[in-house]
Amino acid sequence: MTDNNQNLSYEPLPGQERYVAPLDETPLQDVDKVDESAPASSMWSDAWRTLRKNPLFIVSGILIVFIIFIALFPGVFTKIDPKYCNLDNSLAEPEAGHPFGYDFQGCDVFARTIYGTRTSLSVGLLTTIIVVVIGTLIGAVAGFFGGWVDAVLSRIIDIFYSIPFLLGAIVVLQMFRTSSSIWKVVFVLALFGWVSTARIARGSVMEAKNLEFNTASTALGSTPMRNLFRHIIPNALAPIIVIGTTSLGSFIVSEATLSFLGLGLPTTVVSWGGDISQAQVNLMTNPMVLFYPSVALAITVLSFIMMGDAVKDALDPKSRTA
Amino acid sequence: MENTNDAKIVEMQKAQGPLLEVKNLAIDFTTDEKKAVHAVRDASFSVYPGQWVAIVGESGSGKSTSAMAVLGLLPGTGHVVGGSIKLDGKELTGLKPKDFDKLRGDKMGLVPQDPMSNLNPVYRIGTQVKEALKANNMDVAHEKRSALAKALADEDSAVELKGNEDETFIGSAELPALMDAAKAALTDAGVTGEAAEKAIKYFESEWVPGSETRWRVANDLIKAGVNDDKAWSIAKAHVTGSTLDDRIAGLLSEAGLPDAATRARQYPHEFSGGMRQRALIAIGLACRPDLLIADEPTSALDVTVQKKILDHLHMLTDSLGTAVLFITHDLGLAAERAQHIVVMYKGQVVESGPSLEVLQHPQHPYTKRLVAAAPSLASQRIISAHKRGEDTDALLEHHVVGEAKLEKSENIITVEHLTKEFKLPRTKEMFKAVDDVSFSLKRGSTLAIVGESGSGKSTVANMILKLLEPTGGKALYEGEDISTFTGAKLLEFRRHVQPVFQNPYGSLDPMYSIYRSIEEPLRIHKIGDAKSRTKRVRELLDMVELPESVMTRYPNELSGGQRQRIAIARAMALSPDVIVCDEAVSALDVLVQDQVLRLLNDLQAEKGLSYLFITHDLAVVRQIADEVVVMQHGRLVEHATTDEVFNHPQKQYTRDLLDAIPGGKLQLGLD
Repeated sequence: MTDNNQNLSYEPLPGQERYVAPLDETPLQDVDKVDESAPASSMWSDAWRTLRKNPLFIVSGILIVFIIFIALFPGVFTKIDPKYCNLDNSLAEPEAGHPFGYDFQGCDVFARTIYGTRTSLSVGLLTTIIVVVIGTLIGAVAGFFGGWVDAVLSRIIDIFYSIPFLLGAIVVLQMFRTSSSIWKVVFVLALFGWVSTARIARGSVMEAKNLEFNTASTALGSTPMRNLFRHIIPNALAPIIVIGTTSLGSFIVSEATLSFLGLGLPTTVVSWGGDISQAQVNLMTNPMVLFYPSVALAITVLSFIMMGDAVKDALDPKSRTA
Repeated sequence: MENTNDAKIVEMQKAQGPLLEVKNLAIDFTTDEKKAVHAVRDASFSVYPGQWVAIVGESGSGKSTSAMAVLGLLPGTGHVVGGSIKLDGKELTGLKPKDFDKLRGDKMGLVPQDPMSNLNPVYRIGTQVKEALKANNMDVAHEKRSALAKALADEDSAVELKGNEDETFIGSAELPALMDAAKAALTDAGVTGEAAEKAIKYFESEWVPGSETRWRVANDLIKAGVNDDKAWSIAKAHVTGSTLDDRIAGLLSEAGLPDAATRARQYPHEFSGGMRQRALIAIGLACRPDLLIADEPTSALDVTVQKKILDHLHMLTDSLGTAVLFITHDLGLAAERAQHIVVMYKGQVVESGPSLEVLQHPQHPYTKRLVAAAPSLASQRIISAHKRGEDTDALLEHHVVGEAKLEKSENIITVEHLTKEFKLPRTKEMFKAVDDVSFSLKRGSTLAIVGESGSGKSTVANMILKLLEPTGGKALYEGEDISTFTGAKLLEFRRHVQPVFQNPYGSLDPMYSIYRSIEEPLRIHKIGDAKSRTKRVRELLDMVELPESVMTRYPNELSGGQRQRIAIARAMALSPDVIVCDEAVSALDVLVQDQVLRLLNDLQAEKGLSYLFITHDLAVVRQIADEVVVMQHGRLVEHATTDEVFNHPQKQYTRDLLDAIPGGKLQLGLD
């Protein structure tokens, strides 16, 4: 105890005297009190709060809602049949009731642009849904089981990656030359599109797999398969949704590209890609015929890519640049 | 003798005035919503030259933020909004980043918290030390001075060289010649036999290239019996300056890295956590700062390593006269290392003063709470009470199972010769993580497995939980081999043995609401319907003292301690017999840790649970366990009752662990 007393007797240096804060200035709180006043938040509600304030999301959201409305109810915007073409009107100037004028075949450009929305949007949406479902499943299986399953599936993914998209699309589409359904385009796009989703899904499942709550669940009595579907996939979903939204735009572009090359949809189906392809003949004399479907395509694609960016910002705040 | 020296130091510190003076410091962080969060308010403290000052507080108390403001390293959204920070009388607030660059390194150094992420993995350790020297132009000055010293020594002139005391180090190339000269000089001076051998041995250990200076070499020679003139001429002739590589190796060896020259050429991944922290200390002290800020420098390390590193750091800073601002969450550690402590709570300094005084007579209610909750101090109180022959049960939060009762009660879990081998990657060798471990857990009691990282304690827990299969031996639950359980039997076993894991951030699924998380075990085991489950979840939340309103919340909204209580509620959902707590309180702040431990104790008393408590913290063991198993390198070192282990440790390793409990040697006031 003598040692102790000596230590106590040592006089503090100036500025290091004993100090105790007055209690009223620093009220003590209960240890680890739950703040019940804070608004409830989960990953999704947080993401929604962020999204709501993002101008990128608001603009793209309004545009997408508008585009979907056009696709569902084209009749609201025009009463003209896009397939009614009169060669008398070939490349005629815009006039009352026909604001965009006529194309080479004498069809109403406004009506064709409006009706083309449905084709492009359905191809984009259908492809995205198929790609996300198949890609996630295959990627999740590869990432979850690892070992030889992963090795085999990863090589298959690599093989699909190594096929040039256009070349593959030409070969496959040749087989369905007679079909005029949009499904053949959806099929081709999905066939070559699932691989990037699968890769993302594989990576994020591998990451989620190693999180401790899976071990916790197993110890509670959960089976591996239950873990995969109840815990791992839901936690791996965010990056998949981001890539899905962004690639929706690129699928629409690819459909237009295929139709432009005459490989995609037949001329009997009204589509922006097909119209752009036909309009290029008269590019020098009547550029406006090419202009309208191109702008419609650009706005649609841009909206989805912007939406993808906004969703990415919301789900992964770390990736934000500014 | 010591006292007069202490008094002299205090006089010197008084005369020099404070090195660092922080007055009424206020720091705000701006959030996304442009709102200001007051991280630090009205904080004042000072550090004198050569002094260790500790800032103590729990996470979010503003202790690190204050230190980072001193260094000018506040993260992007943080700003000093008031008060002053003076270093050597010079105001630091409002300095531009460029001006701070000049101060960091040779005026202030930092030893950061996490040794794993603070070294660049693509550069060699030596390169990273060199970077610190280069950034402060120490390399240029160093080589220049070495060259000058060499020139002067060659001239053999009587010119008195300036800078003898600091920058002229032994070079590795000239060390053999110096040794020869020293041996010759000793013989000349008539020092022979044992004395000479002793002197030579001392030289060999002390004269580290790049670390030992000319005047110290001369001093050593004079002490060994060589006369002054001769000693100085040897020192001048043979200590002419080291190369930069020698200096780097010297710095690393000062920080306590053995075989430093080889180590300097290695990459961070080849270092253990403790070695990395030593390298970071070498970098922090490379430019001989007046003030070293150590931000939880050993929190990520094992206790025995922590003790070694802090002992060494203390010795090193004392010999360099460096002041240290030591940030820690551990009150015991702070009091043991620092003369003056500052306690912070919610951004404010609530109490400060001489360490022992604050510890013995805490006045602010928060400090009182902290002192009462700190496990290391609690265990200290028990020891003191023991010495006075008092009954210790009142001091224990734990309802100790009497020894006689322990003898009688049956084993609920028995481990027999348990062994687990892992294959090392890229080799054919097997690594024995657990090596022939046997013990048993008695019904209604608590058994703690203590060990440092890599001791195999968690592997044992995982085998008992059937998350890993043993390579050899058996783990028995109620006399049945756990590894044979499958299907319905396994599900039944899971119902009775539940885990609580270390990381409260990882063990709850972030996508699940609290209700779903706690309900999950009921759902898996198909117990009750939706209505009865909701009722059960309510009961469980009540049991862990959380309001019902958290049911709809998500894990990210709760603090670490709250999540850990949710994890306990989830483990309790199936009314198990055994709970395996794998470092369940290690990640929590002291007060919260205390709260969770009390909860576990209450549950045990109420439900007759048996606990297998895995931890690295012996201090916590004292509070909670009836029996202790000490593990090292996969082997069982010691197995006895808690009192036995603490009062009569049988093995050296156990004694080392007990020694390393921070604050273990403090003379505590017993009020």
